[in-house]
Amino acid sequence: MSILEVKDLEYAYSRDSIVFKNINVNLEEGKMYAILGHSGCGKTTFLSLLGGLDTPTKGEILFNGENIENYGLARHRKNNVSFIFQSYNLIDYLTPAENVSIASKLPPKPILEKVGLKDEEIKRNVLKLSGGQQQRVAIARALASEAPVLLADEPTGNLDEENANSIINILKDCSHKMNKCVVIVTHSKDLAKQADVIFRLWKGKLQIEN
Amino acid sequence: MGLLKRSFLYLFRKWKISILLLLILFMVVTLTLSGIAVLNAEEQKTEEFKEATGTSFSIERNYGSGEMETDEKGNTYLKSDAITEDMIKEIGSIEGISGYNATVESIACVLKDGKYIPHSKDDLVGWDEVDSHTMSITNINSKYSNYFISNIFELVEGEHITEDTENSIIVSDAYAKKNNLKIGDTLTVVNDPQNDDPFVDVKIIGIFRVITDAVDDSDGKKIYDLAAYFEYNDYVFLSNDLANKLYVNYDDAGNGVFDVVDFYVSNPENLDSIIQEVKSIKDINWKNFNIYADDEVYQNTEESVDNSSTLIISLIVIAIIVSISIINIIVFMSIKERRREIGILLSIGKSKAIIMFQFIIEMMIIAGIAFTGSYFFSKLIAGNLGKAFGKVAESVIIQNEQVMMVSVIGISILLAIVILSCIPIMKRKPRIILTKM
Ligand SMILES: Nc1ncnc2c1ncn2[C@@H]1O[C@H](COP(=O)(O)OP(=O)(O)OP(=O)(O)O)[C@@H](O)[C@H]1O
Ligand SMILES: [Mg+2]
Repeated sequence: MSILEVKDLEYAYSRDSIVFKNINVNLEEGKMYAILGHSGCGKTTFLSLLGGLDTPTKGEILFNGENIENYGLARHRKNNVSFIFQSYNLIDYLTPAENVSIASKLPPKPILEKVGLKDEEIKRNVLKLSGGQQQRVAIARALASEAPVLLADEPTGNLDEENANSIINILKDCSHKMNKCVVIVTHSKDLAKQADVIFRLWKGKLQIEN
Repeated sequence: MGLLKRSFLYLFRKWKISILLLLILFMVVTLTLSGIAVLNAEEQKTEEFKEATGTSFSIERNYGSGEMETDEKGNTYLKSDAITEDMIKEIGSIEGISGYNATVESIACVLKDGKYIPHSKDDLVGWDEVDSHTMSITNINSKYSNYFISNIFELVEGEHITEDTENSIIVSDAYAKKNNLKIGDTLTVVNDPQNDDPFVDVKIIGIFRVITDAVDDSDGKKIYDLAAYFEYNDYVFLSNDLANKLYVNYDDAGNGVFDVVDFYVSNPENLDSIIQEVKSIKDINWKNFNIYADDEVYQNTEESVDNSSTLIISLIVIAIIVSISIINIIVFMSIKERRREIGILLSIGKSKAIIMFQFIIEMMIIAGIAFTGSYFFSKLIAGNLGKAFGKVAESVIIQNEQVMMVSVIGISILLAIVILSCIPIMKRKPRIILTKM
């Protein structure tokens, strides 16, 4: 059964600059989705709407059948979704472990180890971690969340191929083993191929790619 | 992780900003509290001074108007209106006038048990009535006599002469000691026994002490100076009724008329308006009287008080403005820098109110420490700071209500600074906050 239903979604900055419109899609638990598209086509905007960081110009998004605006956007962000952003994901005065703990009561250390951080790195000031290490802390925070939907905006942008693959595998486990609905925005076709369903955002439309 | 823990982690890990804010707040609050305490001491001193000196105006018989006349006994006196008791009562009832006094200064011999008694320093040997003359002053309200107002004398026992007092006398402690006098004793006074003047019995109702030898400048203006012949300890104050009883042989002294009356005004600021009111009384012919304000002393102190108060207030105001500006910039910049944090906290479902509340808690923790520190520190230094402005250290006191007031106002300003600094970021949608990072 679909956990997120997107109905007739439209987003415009102004009358003349419509980013996308008439998007209808159902997203299910236990599946990993990839969204491809050229730069500036509206991928981040779409993900933000799914996560309740912004409100659509038209249409609605349902979570388990309930309109997320009625449910409360802050509440939706707290209980239903977790995010991994394109960049700058961390609070700078907190350690990696504390950054993971802000959204979850689970012990942060095993999760940070799972994404490949060493013992010493876990206690370091986050600003003294490399871009890739910072990104893995952000992924750990999303993994620590119990929210059933995980939205990731180019989570592997800063990572080398080896690390990128391991992260993708973790996210795949997240959907298949932990039964989450994982949505990844990426530029990489290779990574997209790991997903169960691939979408392409093209000229304001969301199409399934084979 | 809870709100409070995040607040403390921020304050500790960003300790440079925390310490900076703490120090600025500490300095400005200490300065404000100590400054207010000094101002209070200043004000209190002025109040006491005003009460002590009083501000007065005097109404004087105009010797320049009217003609002199000589009666059948050969005494010369002024024909024009004198100041009457009714006139004094009418003026004295004007609102804002705290009291008045009119005196007739003369000399009187004093007897006890029918015998003339000596001066405070003189010997009893070879005593006669001429040596027994004292400087005698009749008073309507001896409390408002120049001698008491100017702190030359101080009443140490008994009570002052008032309008209702009759047949009463106040003597000095030295005079009383010399002649074994005490409150309640009866004496007899006579103006001039060789001129068939009457003898009148009086009761001692008060004893004064000479506290300064200050010379009354106004004496210099008098035609002749009785006071120069007498020691202060040989002054006696007589109730007003005695003027009529003692000076029966002299037409213009006594009979309820006076040459000069002093009126005391409770609030010196009202002096001018009260004088105007007095001048507008219709049934007084102002051709025959002069009226003049005597507030020179008040004006001088008021000016010096104003000068140092203005300095202190300026210092406080400048310190407050400068520190509020600096704190405002620091808080605004640091919140702007926390845009990323705000975005992340929003994305994990914290509400804007909660995030703002965290910033407020952080500020309140700093303010709490700074204000408490300032409170104790100002208590320590306020006295010394007061000394710099010529205050007695003990009179400079940090009052709790003022600490409360400064805290409430200070905390409100800090709250406003935090909230206003948050608004430019908080009014945006979470996605915009996150994408602008
Ligand atoms: N505040 C804004 N006002 C007007 N247009 C905006 C604003 N923010 C973004 N856009 C435009 O909206 C479009 C979609 O932006 P979005 O960030 O969703 O693209 P994206 O697909 O995520 O691109 P990228 O792959 O580079 O991250 C872009 O053309 C962008 O220029
Ligand atoms: Mg994007």
